[in-house]
Amino acid sequence: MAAKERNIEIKLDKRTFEELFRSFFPSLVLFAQKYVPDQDTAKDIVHNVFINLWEKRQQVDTDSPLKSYLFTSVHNRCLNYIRDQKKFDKDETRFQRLDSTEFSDGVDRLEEQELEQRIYDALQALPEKCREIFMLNRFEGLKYAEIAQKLGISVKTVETQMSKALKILREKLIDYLGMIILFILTHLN
Amino acid sequence: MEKKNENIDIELITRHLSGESSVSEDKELKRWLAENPENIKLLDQYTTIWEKLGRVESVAGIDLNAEWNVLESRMAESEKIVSLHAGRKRSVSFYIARIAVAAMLAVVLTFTGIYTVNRFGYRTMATMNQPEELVLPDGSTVTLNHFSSLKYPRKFSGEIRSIELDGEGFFEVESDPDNPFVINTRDVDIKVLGTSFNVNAYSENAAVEVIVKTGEVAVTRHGEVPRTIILKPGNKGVYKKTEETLEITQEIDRNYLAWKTKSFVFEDQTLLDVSKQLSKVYHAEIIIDSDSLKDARITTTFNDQSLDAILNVLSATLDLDVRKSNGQIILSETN
Repeated sequence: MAAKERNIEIKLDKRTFEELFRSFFPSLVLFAQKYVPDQDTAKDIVHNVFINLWEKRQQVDTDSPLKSYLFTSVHNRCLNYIRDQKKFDKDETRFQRLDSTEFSDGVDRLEEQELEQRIYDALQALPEKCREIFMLNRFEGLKYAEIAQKLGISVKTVETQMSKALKILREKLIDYLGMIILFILTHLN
Repeated sequence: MEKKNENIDIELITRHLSGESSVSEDKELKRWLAENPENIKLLDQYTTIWEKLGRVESVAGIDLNAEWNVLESRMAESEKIVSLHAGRKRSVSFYIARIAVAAMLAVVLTFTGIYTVNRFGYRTMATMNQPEELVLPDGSTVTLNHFSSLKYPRKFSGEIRSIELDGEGFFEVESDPDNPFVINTRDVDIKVLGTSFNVNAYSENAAVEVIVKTGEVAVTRHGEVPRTIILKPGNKGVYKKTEETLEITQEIDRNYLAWKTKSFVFEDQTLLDVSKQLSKVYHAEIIIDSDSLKDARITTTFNDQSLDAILNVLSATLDLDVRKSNGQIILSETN
């Protein structure tokens, strides 16, 4: 009995686990946010899924599709969360609507998620300064001049970095652009 | 020449997308688009990327290092739990027994309060309409009055034993001069070395009161100019929130611990005063429906008795009528 136990090898080591966490955490949070009302709840759910995976790591086969395991677990926990909230929330119609949509667009969600993952990864792959400047403009709506002042650089540098960012993003995402456009079309209908 | 041109185009496209372009630059862009259908396709691609980026906006700012640190500390926690049972085979009935114990515990705890543990290992005890006694990780004990909450770590680490209180509690702190015990409330911090004292710091009250039974306690007011007072046994520290004053007084209501002990000493007090104190301790609404009755004087003591028993005594001594209606207790003169 004891010998058998010693034979259990830890299949998911900490480094692989960390890589897994770092590559999927943001897309899983994004995915969870489609079901739950705020980002903190979404983060909690994703953290719990990872803790659960870590606790079960001896039984995990790293050859199996961990990614789909992660997304399915997050999905299930989100539904549990909604179910539990329902008991306390009088506005049931909001949740009924959620319930009825979750099956119909399950496939779309996976594609959507794939796409979001690529976009996120492409963004993260930008050189740090370049990404910082780009995010200040795209997400925080700062003007070139405002970014220049904030970071103590010239407007010209901001301009160069902005174009550089967009150029790199296009290179990284060019193969998925077809998918993006397809996606827009199917969602317009 | 063509290479240079393309660079200009990308800057122009970027300016256009980020809302930096002027009217004349937009016209220039239009002219450029008309030159070649490939240009239209290129702009389309950039526009699509620009717009799709919005999908990841909400997570773009996530600090992965910070999130990993949180997860890593939780992994370390779960490691400890796992290692306790590692290498031992448990029968199914063992687990069922454990589940049964856990379920029982949950029920017991929810009788008097709600007990939660968050992901950073902090525990929060929140009492409902009954006081609750708990033992902290260092062996100090706290009795929490009703509708109070206490947040404390699973294990004290670092130099200071620090906890957070909203509401009222009686503390008996284990002596440990090297590791001061600090109670953080919204308005004041209370620092002790090992002593017993009562803190009344309901956030909705106008004042925070600290009464010392044994030992010494330092109370510090928050704010730009912190002020500290040292309290000795028999002292009461009062922080008035609107005036922002922190003062020591000797005027201690002798029944200040009644919420914990259910013992009262009343000496020539009006029925109105008595009813107010009883209301607080037993969490009941007591109404006196005649003015002359409110001024009736009482001298008596009660020791850990139920509210009904106390009301019986009052009714017999003052010749009152006690009536219960809609959750209220109404005291009136007998006709």
